[in-house]
Amino acid sequence: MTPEPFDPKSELAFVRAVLARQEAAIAKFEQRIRCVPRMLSALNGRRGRPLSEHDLADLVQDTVLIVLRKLDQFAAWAPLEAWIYRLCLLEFLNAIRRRGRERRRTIERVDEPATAPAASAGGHEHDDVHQALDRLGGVEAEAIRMKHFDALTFEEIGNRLGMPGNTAKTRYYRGLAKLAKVLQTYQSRQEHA
Amino acid sequence: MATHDPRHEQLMEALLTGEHLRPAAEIAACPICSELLRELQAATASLESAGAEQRSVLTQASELRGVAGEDRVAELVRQGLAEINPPRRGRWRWHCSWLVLAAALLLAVLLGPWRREPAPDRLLNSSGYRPTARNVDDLADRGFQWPGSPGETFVLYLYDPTDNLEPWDSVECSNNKWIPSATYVQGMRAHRADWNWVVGTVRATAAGGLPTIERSDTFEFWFSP
Repeated sequence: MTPEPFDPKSELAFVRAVLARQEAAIAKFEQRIRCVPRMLSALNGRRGRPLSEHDLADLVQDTVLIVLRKLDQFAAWAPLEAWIYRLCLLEFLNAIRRRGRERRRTIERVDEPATAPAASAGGHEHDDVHQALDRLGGVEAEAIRMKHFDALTFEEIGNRLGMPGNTAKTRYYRGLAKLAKVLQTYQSRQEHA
Repeated sequence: MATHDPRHEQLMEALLTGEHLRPAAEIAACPICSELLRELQAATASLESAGAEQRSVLTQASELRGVAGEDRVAELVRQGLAEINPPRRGRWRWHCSWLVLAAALLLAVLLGPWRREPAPDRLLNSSGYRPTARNVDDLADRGFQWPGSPGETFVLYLYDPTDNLEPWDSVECSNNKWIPSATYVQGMRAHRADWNWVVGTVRATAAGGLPTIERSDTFEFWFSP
């Protein structure tokens, strides 16, 4: 995705240049944001293709616009593509949930037994983790993402977050404790559903 | 069965961050900690698995070409940028008729000299202490100073102003001062763009001690408009 080593300052400067509508930056951005259709296509393939090509093209359009609208919130804690991946995943999950609801409504209307395929209606084992991290937010969620998603050491996490490695460890641990609680809430909700 | 001790927290942190490879005997014997450890290990396993999936999707995506919607991306970017950030001259031409200008002048006359209202300076704290920086942008320059005894440490808990039950972050500060890095301030703003302020609650503790609340106070930190 990004051949050069990740440098938060230059990544942030790049995004600012895009928002300032500098032509060279926009041209490069157009290439990099091609990761949106590719990521969505890869996610769709892994979940058993719940979305058709047409739905996927619509989702690409919506997600690109969401990325652009949120671009000023990009904090360069991770490469742009990793940040875009989160948005793609959340939009993809919303899309399959919407599709699942639509299918259930159609099935109810034609009075057929509710047998919508799990891939199109149900969740995935990692969905809760991403949603819980999104809910947790802040530095703690970033530290967790950097540790488990980007496979960084605590020293590297500290460097990215502008804090000593030991503080990064504490943030990570506190975040993990909160995340475990949120995940348990999700799990008990699913068990009661 | 051993009883729970707040010091177990440090052992748990060391274990979960890879400093210790095996749980200490105290943790294994403590019913509260062994239960918590199971929960944290389950969360870690889920994170590892989600992380592996993310890396794999990113790798797969980097190899894909010619997928649905890819051909329209450049056009969408141009359209999207025009929507979210129209060029100033274009906006001006669109909006600025002499009628709009006249209406704005009339409003200015009616409302008096127009100025952006500064953030309300409500004093949330009970001690009456006004910190050196309350504006988030000034925090990185001047830091947040807490009046306490030399060597005292404090923990600053940052809350969502709309739901201040659980802090979304906490910062440990020694010598009564916290100077966040510019990256941290940027992150505060980026992550909570929908808020224009956050609530900070300071809890002073004995140096190096566990969070025994000796003194506490609450402050607001404002984002520049």
